[in-house]
Amino acid sequence: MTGMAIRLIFPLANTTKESLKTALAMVVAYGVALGLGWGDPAWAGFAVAFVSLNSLGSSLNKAAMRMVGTLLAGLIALAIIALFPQQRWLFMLALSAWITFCTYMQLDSRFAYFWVVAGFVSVIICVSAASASTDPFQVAMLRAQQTGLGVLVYSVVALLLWPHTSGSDLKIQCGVLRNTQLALVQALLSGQKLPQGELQKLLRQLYGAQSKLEALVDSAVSDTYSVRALRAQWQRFASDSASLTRTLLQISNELKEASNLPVREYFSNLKEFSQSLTICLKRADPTAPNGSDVGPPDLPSLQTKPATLRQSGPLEAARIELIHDVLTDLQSCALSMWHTTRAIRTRNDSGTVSSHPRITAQPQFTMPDPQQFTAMSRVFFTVWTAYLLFIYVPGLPGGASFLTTAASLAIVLAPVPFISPWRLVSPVLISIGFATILYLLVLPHLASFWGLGTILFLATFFICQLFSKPDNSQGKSIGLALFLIVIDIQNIQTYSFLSVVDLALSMVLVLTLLLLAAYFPASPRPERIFSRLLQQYLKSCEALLRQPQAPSSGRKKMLAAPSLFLINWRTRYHRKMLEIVPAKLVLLAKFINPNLLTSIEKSALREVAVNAKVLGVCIDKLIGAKESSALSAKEAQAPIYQAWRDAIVADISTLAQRCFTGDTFPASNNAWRAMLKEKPIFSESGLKWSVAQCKSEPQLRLLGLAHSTNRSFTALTTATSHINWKKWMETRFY
Amino acid sequence: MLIAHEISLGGVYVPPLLIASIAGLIATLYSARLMDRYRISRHFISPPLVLLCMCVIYTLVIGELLIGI
Repeated sequence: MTGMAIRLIFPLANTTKESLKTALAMVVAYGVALGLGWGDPAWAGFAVAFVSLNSLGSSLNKAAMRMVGTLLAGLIALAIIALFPQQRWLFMLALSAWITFCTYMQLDSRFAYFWVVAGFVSVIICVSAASASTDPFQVAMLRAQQTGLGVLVYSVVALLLWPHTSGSDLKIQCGVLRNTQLALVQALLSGQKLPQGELQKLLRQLYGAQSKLEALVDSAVSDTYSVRALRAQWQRFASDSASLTRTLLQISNELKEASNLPVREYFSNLKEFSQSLTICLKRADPTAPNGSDVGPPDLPSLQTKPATLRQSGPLEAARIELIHDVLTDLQSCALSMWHTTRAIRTRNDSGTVSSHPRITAQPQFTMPDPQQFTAMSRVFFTVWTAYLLFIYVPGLPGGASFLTTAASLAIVLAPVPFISPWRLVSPVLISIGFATILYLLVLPHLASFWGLGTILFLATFFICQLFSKPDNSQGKSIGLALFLIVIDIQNIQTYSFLSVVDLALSMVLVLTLLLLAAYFPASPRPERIFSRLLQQYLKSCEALLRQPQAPSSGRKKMLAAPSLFLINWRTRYHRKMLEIVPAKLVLLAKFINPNLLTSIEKSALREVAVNAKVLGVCIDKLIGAKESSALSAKEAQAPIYQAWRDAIVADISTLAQRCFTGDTFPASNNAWRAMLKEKPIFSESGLKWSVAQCKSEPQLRLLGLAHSTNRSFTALTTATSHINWKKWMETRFY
Repeated sequence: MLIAHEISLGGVYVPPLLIASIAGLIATLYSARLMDRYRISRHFISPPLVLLCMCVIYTLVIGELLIGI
């Protein structure tokens, strides 16, 4: 009742509520810091500005990472200062090594923000202590306590005032994901031909919904009690849902052109199977009320028609064998999901029954990623250029803060090289201009904290509202941070026009440096990164297909142990690439200059990402089947399989080369498409297996998977053929 | 030949090189956009270096001929 009354009196938009919360937290943090006489209250303000996000859970997670990251940074900074108090080159070498290490870690961690904070706060502490000749321990402690204050104040405000938890968003997202999964299952198993592009649209929706679910579960665990209490079950649900999504992607690859293979003729009970599967998925709703629980659905096993199968050729038999396996896997995934959702509905925290290996984002010891090295080298270059300028250019605007700002922004921008520093120019200029007016014309007239608090509240609210769109969150943080730096509030306030001009000039230089560093060591243009990632992805596919089978016998296995370790090390890396690259491609597609793309290319970009994911799933299954104990080493190394493998590896290699060097393409897209029609670069020669060569069921399965891989590769090749790579590869200024 | 002198903007004296460099930067950005528009930029190996060089050339030309640096 009270809540309704408040909503009626204050019918505010969510963005307005978030801005009000941030503004209030900012005033309280400044009030406490100034009241206690702590120096640099802007650091508490920074914490408020950076941890304020749209949901309570995300904010609390970020706040925790900021706090722990600051403590680690303090420790490391004090250690570096203690080790190299008088050796400036060694001091800077150690500091830059730590920053690049943090950059590497943030690119491959669930706790990326923790590593970002650990990196840039150590620079701030080290440089503040070294340049101002203040006690480094005091600087580190002050930074930690101001950050703690800001984090605490924002958390309390966000908990008490319009708490927006992720629980409700998670419920909505579960519904969206379930509906998409159901629609896809019904579309694929009904046997009806879908309109052009409908299946791709469903697949894209499924892929997007799955990615959002995993992030939301993490947030909801932090801010929603009902989710936190059943944390393991919700994480299991996200994992089961990921398995189901992967299986749906694979089955869509097999059944999307059902007219080529009359699947219904090979299975005697496909209709009953499909209906029971749909019922199971409908009942697998974690958000349904507990009373609606109606027990597990009766799931019949899929029956093939042996007589029809005997009359078919080896390729058809293999495909049916594969479809049977994947559908059975789909059923098993759906049942596992039902068990997990039942445990959530009945609040049973004793664990769930599941036959599927859990898909987790746990870090694995893998081969280093070249993309991470690129980001590291860019940060290293920026930090050292800023440091050398600081040392050798007398009167450099900003002084030591030039180095700290450059290092901080370099670390923050490292995971998103495709976001140009140009995008920061408008938030920087607007914030500096706005803050300068307040600093020079309004602040000198204030005599009490009430006046200062009002100005702080209004200014913070204005900046938050100005950058309230989710895409502008970085602009909001940078805008607020610059505003706080310019007004530089202290208990004994001074005013200096020169300091504002100095800061403005310093920011111009920092942005110029970041613009130059963005091209080091490779172009930051999104379309170039897209090509590089796709090439890297295809190389991983190639490496996984080339990978020799590990010896199974005891003595051979022991002798090959060192090389096995290296093979596994590399395999883990390539499998990780298959998992993460498609999501990056989806993200990059949004940033590519729309002037470079035709409408066909825009949809082709999304298709490339989805088809890459499907190809990854197929190759993963193929490698799994090869490694399975059901297939002997001799069978897995059959000449006919080797021939197919060599052919597809060559094709993948060709495609990777063509995606990267636009020069090797024919003059126009039409010619490229014509060439595809006349002489497909994907060869099916390796698939001419005879019945005699496929005696065993595992061999048939391998043939089916090989065919599936071929189909997914064909789809990827077709999608890439719609893109004018030659135009993408042209050098441009923007 | 213009003589170098500080420029007064509302009573604040700014160095002529600053004005020349801002004008040079604006001219460079517009030139780069035009070169992209007419696909002239594809003939450059390293556009960032060309951008830097253009900025220096424009700044010097504007400074020498129009402002006096």
